[in-house]
Amino acid sequence: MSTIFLPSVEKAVEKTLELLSSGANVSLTGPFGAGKSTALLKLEEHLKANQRRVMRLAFPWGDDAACAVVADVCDAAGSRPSPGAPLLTQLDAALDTLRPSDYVLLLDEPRVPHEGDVTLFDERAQLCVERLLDWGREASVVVAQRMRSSSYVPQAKQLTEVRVDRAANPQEVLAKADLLSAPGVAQLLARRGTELSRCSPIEIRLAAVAAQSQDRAVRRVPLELRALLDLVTDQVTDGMRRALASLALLREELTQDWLDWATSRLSDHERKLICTVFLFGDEGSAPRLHESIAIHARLDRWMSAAETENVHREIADLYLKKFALAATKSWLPQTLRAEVECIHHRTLGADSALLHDSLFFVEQYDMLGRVFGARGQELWAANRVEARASLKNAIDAYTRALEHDPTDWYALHYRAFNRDALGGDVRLIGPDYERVVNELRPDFVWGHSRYARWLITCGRLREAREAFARASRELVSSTSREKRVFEELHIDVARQALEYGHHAFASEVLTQVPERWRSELQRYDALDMWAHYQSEIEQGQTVFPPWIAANERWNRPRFAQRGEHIDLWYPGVVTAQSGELWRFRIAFKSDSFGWREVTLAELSHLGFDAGLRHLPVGTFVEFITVSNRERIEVYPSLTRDPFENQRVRFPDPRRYLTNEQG
Amino acid sequence: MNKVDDALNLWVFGPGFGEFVVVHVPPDGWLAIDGCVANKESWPQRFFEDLDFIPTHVLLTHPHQDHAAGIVELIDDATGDELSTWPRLGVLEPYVATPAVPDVELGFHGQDANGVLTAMRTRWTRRPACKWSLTVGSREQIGTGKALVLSPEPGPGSRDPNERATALELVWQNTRLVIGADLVETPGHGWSRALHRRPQARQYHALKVPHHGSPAALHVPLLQRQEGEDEAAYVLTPYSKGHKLPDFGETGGIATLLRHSGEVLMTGLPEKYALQSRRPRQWTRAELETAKRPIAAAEPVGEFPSCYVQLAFDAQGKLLQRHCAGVCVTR
Repeated sequence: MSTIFLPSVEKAVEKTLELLSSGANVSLTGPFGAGKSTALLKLEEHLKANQRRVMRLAFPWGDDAACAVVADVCDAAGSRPSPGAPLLTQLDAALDTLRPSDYVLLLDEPRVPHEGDVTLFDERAQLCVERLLDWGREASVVVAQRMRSSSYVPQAKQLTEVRVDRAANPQEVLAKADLLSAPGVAQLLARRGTELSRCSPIEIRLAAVAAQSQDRAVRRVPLELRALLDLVTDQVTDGMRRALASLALLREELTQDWLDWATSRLSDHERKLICTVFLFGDEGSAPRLHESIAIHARLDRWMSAAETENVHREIADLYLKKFALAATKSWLPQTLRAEVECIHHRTLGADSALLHDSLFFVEQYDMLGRVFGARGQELWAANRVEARASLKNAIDAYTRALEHDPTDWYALHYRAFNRDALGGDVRLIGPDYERVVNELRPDFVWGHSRYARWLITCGRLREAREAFARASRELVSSTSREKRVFEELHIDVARQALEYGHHAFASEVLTQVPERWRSELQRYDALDMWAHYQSEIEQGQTVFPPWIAANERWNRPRFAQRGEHIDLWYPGVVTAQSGELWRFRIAFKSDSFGWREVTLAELSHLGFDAGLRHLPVGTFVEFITVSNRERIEVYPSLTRDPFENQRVRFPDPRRYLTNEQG
Repeated sequence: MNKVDDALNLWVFGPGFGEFVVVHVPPDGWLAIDGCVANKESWPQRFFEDLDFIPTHVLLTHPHQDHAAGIVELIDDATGDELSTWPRLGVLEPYVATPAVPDVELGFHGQDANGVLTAMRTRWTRRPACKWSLTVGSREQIGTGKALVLSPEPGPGSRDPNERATALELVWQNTRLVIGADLVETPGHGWSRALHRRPQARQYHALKVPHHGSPAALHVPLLQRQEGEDEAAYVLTPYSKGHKLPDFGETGGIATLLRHSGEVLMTGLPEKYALQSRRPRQWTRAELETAKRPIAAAEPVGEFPSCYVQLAFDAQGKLLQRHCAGVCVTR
């Protein structure tokens, strides 16, 4: 793959057109904000002006990105899927009606394979890309992407890389955004013009806004997108932030009515600022909220979860109104894509009425299940009674998916998980989990881990051991994922076993983690200590507080002072107190235990004033002798569960005791 | 440890951590009550493995840590693929949450109780017929004998599991056992109410002494023998964590029991498992009261089985076998 470096979007477009006309296919690469999407839009414009058929497909944010793309293809083909059809079947059917040689295929930021457990949604998006490129063997293809990646491109399709430079003319960018005369901007240009010329247009605009703040010297304005977004986000009003966050949820082109809706509560000045700084697009073309800002708004949660849910509902309502208008006035055709968008927003608005609707694609039910499941988990964490209803909705959504596609491993797994989270009917949970790990997705680490954990919860320990052993055997051999397997299988299974008091099982699991990985696994040490502590309690051998790691216990007394020469020391714990007599279990080394009784007077000689402090049963101590003088040192009382942070919070370990059945 | 044929066999184990009781009712009834672990091993599981039997009934008398240990492993072994062979599984509902335990060490064992309850409830769902509902007054066929649930009386009651513990009367022909679990008399009048409902329960041949012989559990009318009745066998498990039980003092639980019987058979002393003895020992109450603590064994305890008492009765209540692998306390 040869690479051509170009300094601007216009030049990249020019070069790409030239390459296309010579029969080449193009990979348009460049960093965030370089203008790749803009280049694709301009290409589309040019090509259409020259009577070429263009299919520009962008994978929007969200789990149903593949559904949106397939809807676009169906719209281009003029086909309409039958309800509940598998996504890829629909895609193939639509593509079959289109002759690739007639088309230029423009793919904006296609999903590429990545390391780790692939979700169903990632998997579908990647398969869509593969099918599209496969179909496009005879079409002209331009792929815009941040990183050059050829792993998904069919061998037959050679792409010439055109790299779009981020550089822009700051004067031009700022003039276009009407920001040249803004306060502080002249100073910014004068002092940091050279640096700015290496920035993308979005960075230049945001830097200009940041420079307007009077208490910030222009030399301190960060010229890096993420930092600029943080800075400018703090500067804009709450209303603007909400308007931008609302726009960030939209996935289709912004039309004037969407803009009016989002900015309806803003002042003229705020509205103008949004249009000039945050939106892009040439005159005559639809404005766009730059994807970097949209991502920032969504990930940083510029709105609360409840607000976001409400905005999704508002958007869905607006779509429905548009559809109604389209039906009566015969304008604005109701495209499949628009309907997919409407379902997308109803889904994220947690509209349970969708459970009774006929959706186009199985994956839309899957996404619905995922949204209700995640929502249920959040509500459960907040102790809200609606949690159960949301988890039940998730189960219903997955059941709808499975009615259409009984091999939907994602729906099977998460239906089982949500049933388990509710402490549901175990006769239904086991078979779903088993089918996924045994038949449909034997490589799904979470699937194995959750299944083994569920068996532990139910006290099916032999089966849990077998399930774990099998998973470990099959998954650990895949070396590229080793760490993740230890994290998601070994660590989580051990944690579950400890939660239910099966420390021997937990230890068996933990010892299977190779030593080289142990320090890299965040919970390993804590779980190991927990298992050790449970075992010691059971055998009546505790003499050290549980937070001291086994391999550090006998190094030196914790209460020894720096430079102190210790003649003798040993740890102990108060096991009984009767009047003025305390009995301690003590230890001289890890497997040598003894007893010591200490009277009130002896305690005083050891430097402990029982009149001032309590020494209750369960208190850990150290007896330390220095220069023939012995003293007792007392650890703080252990009043709470020392492994509280390791506890399993969700699903609730007591769920099968608090459910309504039994 | 072999069972005596054509006899009602009773085994009581503990410590390790916990208390485990088994009753064999001819010809094929095996009732496992509560649980115990020692040497990192579930003794209920080990017991049935060694004897090569599957229990027909598994009971958790109350969800306290020291009674729940090791039961999950037994349930797991006894509930294989063939659902029709599953034992009846009993625990009192509604579930009483394990209360917060001031001793953090003990708090850890709360997980065991929750695990047993979950193991039982999820199996009830898979095979509803394996649910043993422990309604007070109800009878359950075990072999050719019957188990009668003596407690707790219905109603909201206390949230202390000891007050709501399930005590059982087990009758085989003319032989009667009372398994006292941890049922206490004060507070809650657990034993008064049980005996009011079932006065015949007093006529037992052996009593698994309730709640490790604590004064709150020793209800004198339960211990008193009627004229002409033989002395009954008292079997008791000690409690070695925190507040140790029984008390060997003149006003303690052992003294109370010895007022009604010449001996008390204890499965061990209220010390941790490692300090128990490999060989049976005999002490007087006064010796135990004055002995320097801890009382360590000359020959420390070995492998399973240890720390147990086995009794076998014929159909007329005659004691056929008395084996005390723990401590026999006399006046």
